[in-house]
Amino acid sequence: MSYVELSYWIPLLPALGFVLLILFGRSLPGRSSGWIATAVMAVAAVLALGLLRDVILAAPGWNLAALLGGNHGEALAKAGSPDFPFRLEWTWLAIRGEAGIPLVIYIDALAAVVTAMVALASLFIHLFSIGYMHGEERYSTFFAYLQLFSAAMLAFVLAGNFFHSLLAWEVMGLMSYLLIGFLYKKKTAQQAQKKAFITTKLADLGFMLGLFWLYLLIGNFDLADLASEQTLAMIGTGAAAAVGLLVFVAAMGKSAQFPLHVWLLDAMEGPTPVSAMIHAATMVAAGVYLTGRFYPLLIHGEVLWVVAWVGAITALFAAVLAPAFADVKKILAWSTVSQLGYMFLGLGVFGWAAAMFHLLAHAFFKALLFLGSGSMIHGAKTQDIFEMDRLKKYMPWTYWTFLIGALALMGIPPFAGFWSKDLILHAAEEHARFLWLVGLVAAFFTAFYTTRMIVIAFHKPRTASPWKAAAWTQGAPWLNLGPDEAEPDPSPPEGHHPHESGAEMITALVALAVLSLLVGFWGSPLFGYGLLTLVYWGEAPELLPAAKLMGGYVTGTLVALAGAGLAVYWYAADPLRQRAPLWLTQALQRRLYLDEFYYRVLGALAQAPTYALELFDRYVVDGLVDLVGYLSLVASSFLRHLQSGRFAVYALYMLLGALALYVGGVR
Amino acid sequence: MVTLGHFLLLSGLLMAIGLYGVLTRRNLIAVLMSVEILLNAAALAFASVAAFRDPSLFAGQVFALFIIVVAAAELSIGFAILLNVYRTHGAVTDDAISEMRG
Repeated sequence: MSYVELSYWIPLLPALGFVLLILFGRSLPGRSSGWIATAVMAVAAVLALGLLRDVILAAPGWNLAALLGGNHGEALAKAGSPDFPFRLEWTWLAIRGEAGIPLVIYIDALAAVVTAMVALASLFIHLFSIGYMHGEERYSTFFAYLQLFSAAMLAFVLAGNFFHSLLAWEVMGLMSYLLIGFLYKKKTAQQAQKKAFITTKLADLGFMLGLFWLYLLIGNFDLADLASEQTLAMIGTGAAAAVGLLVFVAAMGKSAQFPLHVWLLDAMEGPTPVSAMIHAATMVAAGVYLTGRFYPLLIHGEVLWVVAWVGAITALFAAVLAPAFADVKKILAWSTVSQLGYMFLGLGVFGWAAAMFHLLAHAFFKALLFLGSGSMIHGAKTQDIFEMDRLKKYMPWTYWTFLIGALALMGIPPFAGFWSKDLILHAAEEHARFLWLVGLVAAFFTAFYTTRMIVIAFHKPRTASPWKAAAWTQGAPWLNLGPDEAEPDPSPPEGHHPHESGAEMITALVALAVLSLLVGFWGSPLFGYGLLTLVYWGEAPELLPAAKLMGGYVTGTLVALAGAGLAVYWYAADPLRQRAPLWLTQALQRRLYLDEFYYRVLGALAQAPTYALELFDRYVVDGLVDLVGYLSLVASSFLRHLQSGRFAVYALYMLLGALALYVGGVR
Repeated sequence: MVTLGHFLLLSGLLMAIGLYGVLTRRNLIAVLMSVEILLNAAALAFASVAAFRDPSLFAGQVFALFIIVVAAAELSIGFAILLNVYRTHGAVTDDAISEMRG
């Protein structure tokens, strides 16, 4: 039994775990449901790692020197095994000899790597949640949701058939709704879950339209088919562009790309492990993964520049907004949006492998940062970085792991984000110089807001938060939230000292920190580009010689250090001095009024036909119904006089009736 | 020469008298009596047609007999109702029981 044959258990196990926990979770004592879910995930992670090992053994090997010399013809050192990429197939939906839609598991290098990534990240998030969610209501339900979410993501990654990708994609959408609104008693959580679901659902329409259009064009949903020459020849350039863009819209929704990024910030209303799950390793990554899978169409349709621009705009936009926020999770939310923008930028400038590398690296360090923020919130009893009191002193484990994640995010060598982000910037420099500059500016801001967060939360003593007046905590009337409904985060009680979190949480943090440290080396030139020669696009990996990369690496590091230095210079001395004009801060905290624009303009546009229909209903439909009633009233006002109560009169009617029948000719 | 026409004329007259009584009398006893006249008019018509047209078939006579039986039953029920009306309303006119008017 090879791991490939067992691969269908990877998504199946968490799905079974979900069934078990949702049915019997309530009767399980204490934290056992959390441990069961974690154990299930651990088995899945072992299977996923075994699968990755099998795939690495079966994948073709490359001669690095020849690749770097640009001599691709002689670079193949070891041919891949004949049945690679692996493919498992079952009949599904086959009716009376019709082929139906086969259930395909398609395992190439990318699928194996992402599966391992999702399984590992999900495992540590599960582990962390055991401690973090302790004492919450619906403890076992939470783990059931996490299980199904992981199952959906794993199924999505392994699906060799876009129809099943779509199914898993939609399950993820539903689970994100349930998880973001897990604390459903909070009004803000209800609003957030609706916002996330509706925004992504709107984008999903693009996936469906694109998919069905594709089916009309090529007559199946097969993933491997999409990359073949005949298929692409069958699809015209225009249709390829249209389908590719439609699917990209769905990816924009799930991956929170501008202008569909609005749901992600609000999604921070969910419990912190959910943020780590959805916004680091799974759902947002699904959009990047899907775009990567539809790459042949995007190239064929020549619309990659759209992807690149959307990514670059998002990367910069989110990174600029982040410094205006004081809620640690919201800063990380913007950071996620920004990093996803980098991935799309990478995809758009032919840096396919770099984007996937960044996806992998970001999953680990962002999960780490989110879990770290969960630990901070847990210990400090507040989400506001200004109210956190010298956490470095009280929470050393959290501090050091968080610092590793933050350095990876900033792109300081040798941490994961450094290798992957600079590869993306490099690809941008090759293909789109302007976007490369945009990426660099975003990198500067990334380092700036990350450092600001660390300095204020971990090093500075507690102060009154200057941004309690932020739009969100003061209630956001344009979101139907009055000040009384939007609950500001409770400030910690006076004299409350932060404390370090429990063992499960620390273990998860340390494990993710180790991964954040190591995973970058897998794709770095120091260690022979292991990841990039495994996961690549096209016939052979495209590698740049280290000498050529050096300039980019130095530039990226300097930019990151500059951003960090500015933050230290500004905030280490006096964190509370007003740094930006008030109108600017307000505008940034209100997300440049984009949400308000959506709410007012699009909301009004959506409501206008509703209003017309309401009038139609009220006056025409109701009018008709009322008319019937009114007619019977009028008729009865005449007819009531016929009922005199005197049977002699009734007898006369009978007689008249009989006469009428007689005259009318009823024989 | 008495023909079928004479009998039917008599029957028709009886029918008209009965109808007039039913439609005009206010006293319920009188109304019941008028109904009896109506029924007798019908019975007479049946019997006479049967006797003149085809005496060998007894359909007409049987029908007349039926009408007599039904009239008896109807009267007994009618008088039972009347007694109750008298008990509750203290009168047997149709005004007394016109509470169900619209």
